[in-house]
Amino acid sequence: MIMRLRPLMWTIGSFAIVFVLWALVVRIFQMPQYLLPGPVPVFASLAKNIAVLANQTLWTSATVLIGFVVAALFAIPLAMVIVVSPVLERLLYPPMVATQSIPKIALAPLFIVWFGFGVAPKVAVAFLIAFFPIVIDTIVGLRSIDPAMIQLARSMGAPPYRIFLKLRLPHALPAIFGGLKVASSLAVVGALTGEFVGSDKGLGYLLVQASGNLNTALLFATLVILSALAMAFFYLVEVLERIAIPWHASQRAHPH
Amino acid sequence: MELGGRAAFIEVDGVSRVFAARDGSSTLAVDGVDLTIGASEFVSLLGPSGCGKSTLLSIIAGLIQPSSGEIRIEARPVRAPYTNIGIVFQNDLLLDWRTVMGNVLVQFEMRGQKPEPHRERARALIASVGLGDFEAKYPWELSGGMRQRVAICRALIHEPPLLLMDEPFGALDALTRAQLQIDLQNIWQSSRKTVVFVTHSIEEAVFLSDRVIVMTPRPGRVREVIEIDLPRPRRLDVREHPAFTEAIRRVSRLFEDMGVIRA
Repeated sequence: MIMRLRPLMWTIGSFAIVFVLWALVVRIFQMPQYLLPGPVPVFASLAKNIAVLANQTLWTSATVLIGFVVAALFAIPLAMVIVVSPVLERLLYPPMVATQSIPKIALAPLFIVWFGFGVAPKVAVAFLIAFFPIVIDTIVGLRSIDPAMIQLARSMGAPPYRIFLKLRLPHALPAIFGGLKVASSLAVVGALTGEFVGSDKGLGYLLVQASGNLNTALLFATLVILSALAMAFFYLVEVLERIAIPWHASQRAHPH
Repeated sequence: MELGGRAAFIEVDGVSRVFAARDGSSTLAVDGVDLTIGASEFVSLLGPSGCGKSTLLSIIAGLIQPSSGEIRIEARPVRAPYTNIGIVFQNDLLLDWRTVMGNVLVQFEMRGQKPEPHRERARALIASVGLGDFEAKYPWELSGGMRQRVAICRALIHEPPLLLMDEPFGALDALTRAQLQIDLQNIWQSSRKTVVFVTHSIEEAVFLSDRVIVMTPRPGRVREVIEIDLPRPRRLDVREHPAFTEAIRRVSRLFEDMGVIRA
């Protein structure tokens, strides 16, 4: 029990130190409220605006989640197709890499033109930015199997589809989850970018509003919520990973 | 070819294999190998690294097609992966996400058969190689020698008449290696399978085999076939037997003649 509590205490302790230093800096340098509010006004603002923040968090979370899930649903099958078929690889891989060279954030204004001011353009940016790491990591995972393993399976008379389902795919899962974890953080960036460019909802919108009104305490409160949101998404994927691949080296010996 | 009155099981008939490299050049890996292996015979392919012995093994298994020549097993030409077979590679190739039992039973799943009817037999086989308490463990919980034992069980569970082994003990420490050699001999003696065993260890080849096929450096050709006339079951002290030391000396001299070992 003590061993289980200890890491949590460390986390709380490190946050406490940050908050104390933060409060000290504000106090010692006499920072004005509109530049750097102390932790107390920030959390006061968070408490005061909790209803608004909760609402906008829900909105942004939905955007992130849809963008991320749709990205995964497209990226993983696309990676499979690319690995299985050399013809489709030559056909699909170069244009995919080419679209990746466009900074996806720069596409947000275009998506506003195409999809209007609703949730669609934000989902589109989240989707695009989350898509690539999942495809790449899935391809790497599917390709990294020992060729001798495939030979062994062939000597057991296994047809290609069975080799794929029983060997390649489980072997690729750790890499796929690596891609999903990177994508989960990127999807938050994508959704926010979409909201910056044109929105009347979401945490991104709230940030722009708070900045315009020089309401720095609310701005910081929103940042706190945002980082909590990004962390929650990351750990959600990690929990799924732990359920899916308990056998993998990354899951065996946790120092915590 | 001397087969000691045994029927021919594998015939390697004028087999060559050329590999094309990316730069357009080509390498002759195996060059005109003729070989007949009898049923229930234990034969080693012995040669330096890169001499094409693993390639030859893959050709026998039907996993690589020869550029010319033909393999016949029980008089039938092999033109596709031969499946009535068990293969053990140097890398144990265990699946990290399956237990010891699951890794042995994968043999049936890959063949599209239900593994359940074979579970009891698998349990007995796993116990017979000393892993009775480890059936539910995962590969990463086992030592290198234990992992390779599991790989051997996987190659035996469907009771194939032919066992191909590609430097199966190459990555193990000397003591584990000696133990597994003895275990393999026992398995072979009780099951009378045909075994083709690839190694670059002279001692290992002589200790295990009925015949040692000494191969030349690339391109791989058969340099000489040496009969090992030692009583079975062979124990570690067979190494002091005059016939053992004589065989070692003969093979070593061949490697010196070929320039593989410089005096």
